[in-house]
Amino acid sequence: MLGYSQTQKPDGRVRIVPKRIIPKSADTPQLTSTSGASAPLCLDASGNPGTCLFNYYGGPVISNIDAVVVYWGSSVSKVVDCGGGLDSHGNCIGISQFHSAVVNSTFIDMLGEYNTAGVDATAGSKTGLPGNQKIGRGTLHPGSPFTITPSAANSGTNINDANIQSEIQSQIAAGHLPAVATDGIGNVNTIYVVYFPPGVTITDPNGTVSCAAGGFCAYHNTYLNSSNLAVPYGVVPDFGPGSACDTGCGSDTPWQNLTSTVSHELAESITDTAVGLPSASTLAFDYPLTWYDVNNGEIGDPCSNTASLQFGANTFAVQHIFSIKAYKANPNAGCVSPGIPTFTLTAPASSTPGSPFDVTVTANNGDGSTYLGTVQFTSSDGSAKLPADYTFAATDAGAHTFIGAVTLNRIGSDTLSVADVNQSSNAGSAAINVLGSAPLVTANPSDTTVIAGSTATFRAAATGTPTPTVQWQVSTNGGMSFSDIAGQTSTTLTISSVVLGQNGQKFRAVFTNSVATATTTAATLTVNGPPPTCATDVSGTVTVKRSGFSYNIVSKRYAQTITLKNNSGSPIAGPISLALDALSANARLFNSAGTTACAAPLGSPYVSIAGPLAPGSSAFVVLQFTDPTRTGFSYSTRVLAGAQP
Amino acid sequence: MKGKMTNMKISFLLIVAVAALLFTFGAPTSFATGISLNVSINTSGLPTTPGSEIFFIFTDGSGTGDANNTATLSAFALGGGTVGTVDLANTFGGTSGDMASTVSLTDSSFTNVFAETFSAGSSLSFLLNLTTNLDAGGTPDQFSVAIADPSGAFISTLDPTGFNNLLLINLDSVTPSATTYSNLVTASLPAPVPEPGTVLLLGSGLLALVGAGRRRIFH
Repeated sequence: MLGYSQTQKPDGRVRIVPKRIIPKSADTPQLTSTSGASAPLCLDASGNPGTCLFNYYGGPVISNIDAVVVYWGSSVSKVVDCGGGLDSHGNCIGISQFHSAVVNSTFIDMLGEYNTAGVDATAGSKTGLPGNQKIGRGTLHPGSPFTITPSAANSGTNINDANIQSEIQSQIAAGHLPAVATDGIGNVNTIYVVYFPPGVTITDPNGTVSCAAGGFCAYHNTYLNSSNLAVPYGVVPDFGPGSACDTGCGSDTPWQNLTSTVSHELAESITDTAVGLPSASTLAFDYPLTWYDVNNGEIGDPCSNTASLQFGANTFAVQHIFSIKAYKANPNAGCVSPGIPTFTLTAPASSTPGSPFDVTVTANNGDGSTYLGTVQFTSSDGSAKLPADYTFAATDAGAHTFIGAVTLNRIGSDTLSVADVNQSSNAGSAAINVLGSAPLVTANPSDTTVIAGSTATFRAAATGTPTPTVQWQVSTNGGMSFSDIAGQTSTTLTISSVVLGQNGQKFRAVFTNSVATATTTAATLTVNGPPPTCATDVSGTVTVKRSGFSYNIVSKRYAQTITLKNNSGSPIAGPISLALDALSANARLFNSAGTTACAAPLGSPYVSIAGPLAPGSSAFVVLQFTDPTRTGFSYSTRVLAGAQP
Repeated sequence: MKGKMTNMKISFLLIVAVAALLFTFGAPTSFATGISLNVSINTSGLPTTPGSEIFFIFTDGSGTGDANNTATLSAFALGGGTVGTVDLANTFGGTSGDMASTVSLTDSSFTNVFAETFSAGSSLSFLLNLTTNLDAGGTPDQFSVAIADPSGAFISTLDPTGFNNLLLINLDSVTPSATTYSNLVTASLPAPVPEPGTVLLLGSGLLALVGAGRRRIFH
């Protein structure tokens, strides 16, 4: 088959990767006629150009691959260990980095069409039984590469597949290789990909040898461990200079030929994990095969071309993979490259500083597969609050909304972008106009007068976008300078237990947002001493005798003599005030000493009388009135003892 | 008047005599509660030129002008002086008459003032008859007298109100006290003129009055 060394052994289920001794070319197209010059994509049972007939046989896939890179001894070639050279940081770009990239890229996404969950087996003994696995991205096992020292029985320059299976199991048992990991339903996730040093010739289960004409470039196989787990592994001979695989397994550089070949084996291991195990029945093609074409093998086999996978700063060569979906759409385009994610970012056209908003990211791999990678947000606003890196799940179906996860703070036109955190992608971006306004004071604090020991409260308010913060300040020098009051950052300033020493202090609030700052006017705090003790009403113990009114024809005033007599047994301490309540409106007490301001009722004129007034003694006072109407007036009296009438 | 003056307070217990008369003869229905008083003011210190002026002031304690009391002044004698004219500019309220005959003031307004000029002689005397009905409300009616010289300056007195009243009576009882604020003023009971047949008991009443007056007048 045009250079393919493809031996189908249903009892051994070993699929041998094509030994691509042909020059790199486009994936072999489907012949349109038997006389066509081009090689067919798939063959029929007779080896003639035919139709690709991939079926699901009911076997397992790898849900989330756990790639363990194994070095068979310490002498793997530089092609394996640093095949990609050094990156910009001087780090070796070796086969482990390739594994890390390829298992976490759209190369895996495009295998999503080989999910088995809900898919009925269409061939073999399990026909009609649905599978239960979905293929997602995987990881390079931490610690890779693992360098093992083969046992003497498995060492040498010529080893076979049995030696490899034995050595892998021994190394796992000895703890030199990671234990087998499974997915949530007990199927194996781990694959051990073993890289051999120069000078080791490997004979596969079919008896073919590595890197030889008619042999293989690499293969994957499976063994059943003591726990009855189907453990996949890969065998990769040396691709170093003079190995024949360096040039015989592709037409690119040895490194590119190596990664392309390995990607082929990984794709097939994922979609036909238990290929090496015996058939469950006497059928030649049967469970535990997974995805298989009876005439053409596994999903990597019909394809030969390579594609570039840009991952971080590196570009890796991977092989095209057969896609049933693509093949059905176009039989001449059944071999596909991993998609390049294109992101669409949906965001509001505008926002306000500090206000979170939703964004939706839609990812399109371009090949119809579902994006399962990790995205990362960036913004032209260095102070933006962005969502954490997010890994798309299958349930996202390529679209995810980040609720209230983005906050922009910089006023003006900002850009929000999203891209795959690792793989080269077409970033999605959105321009967002961040609108803001400077704080505007809407309420200044008011001057406040309180009694010492009580609580003083000042209030201020301001508008602005984003909502301004507030900081109260105090001035103890009449407003010449102000200083912040620690902790007073609400619009209400409360000062408890005010002391007389705070009298005259000034307070103001400073409102700040990302646009500007605004300061209120200052309010003055007046602190008074304790309230005075009002004069006591002693009218009940004092007799008030009024004379008649005298009238002065010149001054036009009236005079009246009032005699006060203390009828109590105790002296009435001075000062004594005689208040005139309800004095007629047409009259005025001309010689008033003031009006009552403490002892209610307030506002009544009063005259003062020297005290004290001894028990039984009397004192008199002359009242002078004006009454321009000369029509008469009246009042009631109240005798107050004390300094605050 | 710059001369030294004394403050004399005169009390009258005319009610004692009246009570004695009532006890003896029964209360005539026309008899009003009141007092009579001979008042004499030494005006020798005043210029003899015309223009001195006397003021009789009667205020109503109720403030309403209840007209429940009347002051009647008669028997004016000016000690060689002469009566001038009623000062209409300063006369208002319930007043009437003339010092040439009789002056009457009734508290029919809150403020009732009678003013009349005269040329001073050695003294100015008159008989004051004053009813003494009480006002409600605690402020009594008040009758007062003041004199200004031709320049308009009042004869200075010891009146604590500063209004230079010479004589002041608060009608705060049916037997009110009369208070003088200058030794230029004398106030005395008029000589009684009993009706025939009442001499015996009246005489005993007068004896009591004199005794009481000595206790209460001038204290």
